[in-house]
Amino acid sequence: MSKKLAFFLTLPSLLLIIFLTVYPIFGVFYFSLHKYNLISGEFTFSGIEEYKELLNDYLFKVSVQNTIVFSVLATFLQTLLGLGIAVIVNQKFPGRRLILPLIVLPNMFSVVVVSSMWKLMLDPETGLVNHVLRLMGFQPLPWLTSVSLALPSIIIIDTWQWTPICFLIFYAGLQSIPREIYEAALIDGAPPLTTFRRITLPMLKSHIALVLLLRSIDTFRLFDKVYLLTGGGPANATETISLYIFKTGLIFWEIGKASAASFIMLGIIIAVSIVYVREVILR
Amino acid sequence: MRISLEKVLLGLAVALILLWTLSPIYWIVNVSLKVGLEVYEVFSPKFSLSNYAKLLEEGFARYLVNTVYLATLTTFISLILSVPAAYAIARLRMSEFFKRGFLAWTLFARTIPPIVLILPIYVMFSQLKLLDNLNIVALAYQIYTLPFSLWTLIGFFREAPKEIEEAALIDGADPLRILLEIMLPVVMPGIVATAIFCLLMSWNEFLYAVILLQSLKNYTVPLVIASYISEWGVKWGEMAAAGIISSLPMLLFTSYVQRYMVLGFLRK
Repeated sequence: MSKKLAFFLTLPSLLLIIFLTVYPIFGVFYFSLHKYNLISGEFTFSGIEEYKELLNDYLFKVSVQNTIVFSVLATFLQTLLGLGIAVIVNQKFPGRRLILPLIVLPNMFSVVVVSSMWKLMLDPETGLVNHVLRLMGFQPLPWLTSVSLALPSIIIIDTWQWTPICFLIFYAGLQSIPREIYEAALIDGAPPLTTFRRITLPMLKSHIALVLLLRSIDTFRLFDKVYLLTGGGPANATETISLYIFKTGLIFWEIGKASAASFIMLGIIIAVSIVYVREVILR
Repeated sequence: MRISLEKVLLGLAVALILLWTLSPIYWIVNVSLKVGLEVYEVFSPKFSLSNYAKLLEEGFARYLVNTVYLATLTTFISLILSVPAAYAIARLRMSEFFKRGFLAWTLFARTIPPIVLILPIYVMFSQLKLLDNLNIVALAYQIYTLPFSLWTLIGFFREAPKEIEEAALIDGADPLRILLEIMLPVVMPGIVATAIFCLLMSWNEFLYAVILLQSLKNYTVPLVIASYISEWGVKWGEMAAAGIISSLPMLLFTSYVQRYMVLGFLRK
């Protein structure tokens, strides 16, 4: 009786989650095996034809490459900065409690607001960054509109927004390391770098794993910032897989091709997802 | 001498961190409060609310109402579904296999890139003529909020002390009454925290909104800001003002959100 009730209580959630995740995963796979155009209405079975076309599609290859480069660089940069800031803030100094909420502030803004902030910061003519560069006697830079600077700019913006989360996780980790261990190391005359390598890093191992997993999963889906700030350009320098799927499926209406790209994207991220799920559930 | 050098370096590092963190925020506030080239008169005391006034003239209130409606409905659906389910998973006797599978899947669902899931849903809604409908977007938003609510609420239900429930069970109360009369008051802080996060998630969401909503009358605040961003510089004052207004709920809950953010990530 109680077991039946328990199942009945979970059923509505279960059904909706199946509708929103299991159904689309099968749907995307099914569509990917077809030439499917939503406007012309074409819907014919084509086997793995769309996958073959994707692998020969220059734009798709570029988008996979950009996504991986962005994901790896942004994840490492944010992890390093987050760890560094956490170590600095963990020192004793006056006003420490006050600056904590300030450091986390960037993550209190939505991605759309963050994008508009950085649009204002990085605009070549009126942006604050170039204004300061000019005042200091440097050449202004075409941040978001140059092939070589666009992706680094997006990495900087993402790092500004998400380092606070990495910082918070590391800071919580540092706070949980007993002070006595550090005092003992100090008495033994261990230099700060050794203390960091031998005590801090090993104690933060699971936090580092968590941050790396969280950030690589999130950076891999990069869409909003490039959609809003560069549209994938210039010259496809910031084209990502998410943006490619969006354009192919919902602007050119080639649902079959976009579905094949979606399925490949799912395939790439699934390994990281499984590690993440295991890590969190087994903690 | 050594100690003072260390202190100077520490102070310098903290100053750099704050400069990096705060300058974009300072700049958007500055742009929202100044008109035209006055933005560069960094320390000029001349402020004007004209950007905010223009925003309201352009019908910003309508988009605020849309966004509030969407966020409220999304949160309501998530809670009404996830509270009983989380209670059952955390507290009632069920097959271990089912429980573990359910937990793992809710966690896994949050790692799937949302763009991957939207095409079949978009096709279905377009065939049913249900696009451009805020209620349908609230349903689609469950991809974000439902797995999140389930995951966090299961944690909150598990943390509640066992004794209160056992006493009621001995008295012969049925599980539904235990949930409503005993468990709900105990986990209420957790439910409120979950609700706030769901509200903020749907308040800020962009990808599904831009895909599923089409007409201006249904636009949410993030879509309006996005249209200002792509308008290429003409209305930056308004864009900044809209950004500030849309961030107010988040800033209001800052300290609260920060406390639970860490908990959410580090919960065992």
